[in-house]
Formats: sequence, C-alpha cells, structure tokens
Amino acid sequence: MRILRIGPLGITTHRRTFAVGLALLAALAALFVFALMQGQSGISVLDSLKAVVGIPVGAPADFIVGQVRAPRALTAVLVGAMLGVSGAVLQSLTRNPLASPDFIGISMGAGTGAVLTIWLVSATSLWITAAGAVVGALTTAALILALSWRRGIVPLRLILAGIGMGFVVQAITQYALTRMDVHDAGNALGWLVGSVTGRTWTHVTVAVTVLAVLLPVILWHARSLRTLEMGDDAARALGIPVGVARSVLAVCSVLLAAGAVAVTGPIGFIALVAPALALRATRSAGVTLLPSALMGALLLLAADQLSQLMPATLQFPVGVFTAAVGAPYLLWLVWRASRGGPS
Amino acid sequence: MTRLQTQHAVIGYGGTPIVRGVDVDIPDGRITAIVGPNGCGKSTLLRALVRLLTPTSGTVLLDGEDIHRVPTREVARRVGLLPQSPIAPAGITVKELVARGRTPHQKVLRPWSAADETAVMSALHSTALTDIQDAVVDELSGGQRQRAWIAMTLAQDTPLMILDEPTTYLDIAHQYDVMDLLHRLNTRQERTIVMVVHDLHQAARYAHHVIAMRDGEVAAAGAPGDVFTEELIRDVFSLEARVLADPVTGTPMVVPAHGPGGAR
Repeated sequence: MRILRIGPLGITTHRRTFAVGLALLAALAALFVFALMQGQSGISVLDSLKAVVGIPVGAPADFIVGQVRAPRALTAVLVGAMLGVSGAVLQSLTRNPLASPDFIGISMGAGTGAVLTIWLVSATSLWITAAGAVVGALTTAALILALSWRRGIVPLRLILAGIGMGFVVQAITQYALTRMDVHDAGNALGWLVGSVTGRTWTHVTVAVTVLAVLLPVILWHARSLRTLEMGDDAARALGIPVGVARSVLAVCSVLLAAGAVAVTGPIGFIALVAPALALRATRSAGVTLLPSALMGALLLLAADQLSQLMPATLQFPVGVFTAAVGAPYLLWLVWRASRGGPS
Repeated sequence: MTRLQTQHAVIGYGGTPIVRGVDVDIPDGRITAIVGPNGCGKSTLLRALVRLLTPTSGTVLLDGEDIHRVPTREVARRVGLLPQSPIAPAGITVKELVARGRTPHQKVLRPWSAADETAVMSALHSTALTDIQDAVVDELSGGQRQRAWIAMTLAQDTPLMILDEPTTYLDIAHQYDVMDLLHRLNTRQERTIVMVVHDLHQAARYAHHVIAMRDGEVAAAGAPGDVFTEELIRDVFSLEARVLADPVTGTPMVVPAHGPGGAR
C-alpha cells in the first residue's frame, strides 16, 4: 500500500488514486479547452480562456465562448461531477453497483417535482424549478425507503422499489404534461430529454451552489462511508455513528441528483457508470469520491462534445448519448450478476 | 476488577426480551467465554456489551459509566469488536483492512500518524500477517482472513476485545490457530478478551472465566473447572455427558455419555 500525504490538510490517499485523479483532471482540462474551441469562429485559445472568466476580448468571442460554449461546457462538467458523486455514495451505501439515482427512480422523482412546479406555478425561474426537483427527489426517496424498509435497508428491495417508483413518478409526469398549457408542456418536454444545450451562467451558478454546499459535507463523511461498507456492526464498533452518517450521506446523494436534474433535466447512466469506472481505474478498495466526480465530469463533457461532432441530423441531446454508452454497461452488469460473478 | 459489566440487563429486539435480566462481570485481563445452546441469548448479550444493542432495562457499565452515555468514538477506543460476519470491501488488502481498525483514533483532516502506523505494523506482526500484508483479503484462506480481521480489531488498540464466534467456519487447525493467537494476546498484551464460542472443549482450554447461558439467563459463571460439570451440561445443553480431564491440559473435557445411535 503506497500512501501519499498531501500537505497541511492531512489528506492521505493512495498514490495510484492520486495519479488517476491527476490524469482525469488533465483530460478534463484538455477537453474543456477543446469544448471552448470547437466549431468555426477562429478564436484563439487565450481569447477563449479570457472570455470564460469574463475579460472582454471582442464581439464574437465574448458571446460565442463567454455566453454559449463556456456555460454549456461548465454545466456539463459540474452536473457530471454531481452525478458521479451521487451515484458513488448511493452505490456504496447499498453495496450494489445498480443503485444509482437515475436507475432507482430518484432522478425521475426530481423530474416529476420540476414538471409539477412548472405546471402548478408556471415557474420560469431555475431556482424554483430546482426547489421543485429537490422536493420531488426527496419525496420519491422517502417513499422508496418506506416501501423497502424491513428492519433496516435491504439493498435489493430498495432497488426493486426504486424501479417501481420510477414508473409511478413517470406516470405522474406524463399526466401533468397532458394537463399543462401547451407552451409550458413544450418547455417541460424539452427539459425532460436531458441536455446541456443552451445552458446559461444561471445554470452554472445553481450547479456550483449545489456542489459547493453538498460536496464538502459528503467528503467530511467519506471515512464513515468507507467504514459503512464493512457492515453496520463493524462500522459501529469502529466508532461510526451509523444512523446519522448514513442519513446525512443518503440525503446529500439525493440532493445532488436533484440538483443535477434541475439544471440539465434527467441525464441517464453517468451516475451508474462513473463510480464503477473510477473504482476500476484507481483499483481502490471501496468508494472513491473525487475520482468518481472527475470521471462523471469527463464522461458528460465528452458525451456532449461527441454529440456536437455528429452531423447536424444526428445531433441528439447528450442524454441519448450517455444512454448509448450506459445501456450496454447495464446489460453487462445484469449478465454478470446472472452468472453469479462478484459484483 | 472489572471494567465491563451488566446490571440486571434486559435485552431484546422489541417484543419478548432475549436476555432476561442478567448480571455479568467481565474480569479484567482474562479470557471470558460465553457458551450456551443456540438461541440462549449469548450473541445478544455480546452485542449489548459493545453497545450494538440497548438494554430495554438495566444497564451495561463501561468503567463504571453507563455505556450509552459514553460517546460512540470513545467506546470504540476502549472496546473492540470482531462481528460474526463482517464484510471486506472488494479488493482491499490485508494492510488496508487492518488500517481501518484505526478509524476511532482518526479525525477528518488529520493525517495518518506514526502511532497509527505502529499499531498497524504491530497488529500485523502479532497475527503473523506481515509477509502477506499486500495480499488481497478476498483471496486469502479462511484462517488467514479471520486473522486479518482479528488484526484489524487489534489495531484498534482497545484494552477490551470482544469476538463473536471467532472460530466458526474454520477447520480444526485454524480454529486452534485463532485460539492460540487470542491466548497470546491475552498473556503478552494483557488484553481482556470476551468471546462467544460453540466448542466447549475450546472454551475450557482457553478461557479463564466461563459464562454459561440458558434461556436468556446466566446458568453458571466461574472457572471452567467449576462451570463444566455433568449436571450443568445436562441442565444447559440437555445433553447427558461425562466430564473428563483433558489428557494434555487437564482442563475439563465434555464427552457425550452415549455412543453413536443415541441415548434416547
């Protein structure tokens, strides 16, 4: 075990985890610059970077990079990170690689909450939609928990109840869509597809706020999360306040997923795949949060860039792309589980 | 002297209590074995001793204080537990697992200290795992894996160690490996050890103090020679047995009084 100590913060990590983190960060930075430069306009790298931080460099760059590409790319990065962490926490808590917010109905619940908000209050403010998404996600999560509770959390029951709840809340969304004003319904539908297209600095602000509040709380409980993977008895015997830690972590995970849905609409599979890829890359024993965040960010940004590189007739929203990558992974998981292999 | 005791402890999971008002003293610096038939409440009592369960009435006292008033982390610095079926995170190495035992001594943003490293290395050494510290736990044999878990509990560096059936699922050689290890930890490091065991022969050989339970009550407690009598075995386990002297150690050896084919 090679351990690396990082300065006065007293954070320790494995060298491999650290190296993987750095590599992901570098890839993310490169892809981000690529995202700023992509397309025709002949704006230099330096001008692009200036435009991102709001230094005026002239008409086309200020708008194309500063107001279109930068917020879009940043939204992808932030939402990808939120989904990665949300999935990592949920998978760790349930000790099941299938437990991700988009798979067990929580993202759908957030979507339903947001659509209901659009319908009932005709909300146009992102903050109000986000609040609706949070309420929807928390309600759905509480219902899933209540349905699957049997003297404690039973992971498999939780996942089945979650899949069931996913259908229920989607039915509610459909119903709301049929009753809404046509204009609102159009907005809601466009948003429900899941996309980072046309995202603005407001979206970035919402995403940053959600991440800035929740990520520190989750990192603060990272040790508890890792210890909980050893079973409740072992965790409690090691001095972890099991009930409190689990509740805090679960709520943070749900809120992250809700925040992500509020900003981009439901984007599938990132939360499912990113933590698994991060685990494989770092070969970490147990949950690895920051690599999951970086992996999620990288995946979503890459998916968005890929979708933009396609010919115009094939430019699907990014959610379609992530599904195209994620669905085979899900099938592989199910296939492996059915063969009784280790998960 | 006793740092850990129960007073009229009634313990259960809601509904009918499983342990019904027991007074137990765990003698310091000794090995205590809790024995009894299935369902007698021995594991339940053990869980209450480490605060995994709250008595519905009565108390568990740790150093004279109600254990439920002691902060969780503080309990974990004084009492270590090896649960019956702990889960090793996939891919974890022996040393990483043992290092997890340092959890109650660590804080957020506090680096891995020299004391942590020393405790882990010494735990690996005591359990003869130093050479395979980088091996992956999933790939170890049952006996090695159990030693790794014991090493984790050791690294926790608690004066009291509690083990729930530490030898179950191990073959006979590894069972005695584990028992010898616990004996060494007790004599060399003066750790107080409490364990639930099924094998009366092991209990008699290795424990200084035996608590025999039946139907949620303490049927007898004391030195193995005083507890393991033919009468008590009949009483507690409903087994007609002869108690002989172990030819090696002289400790009591319980042998069923009937041969194959049954007595009844």
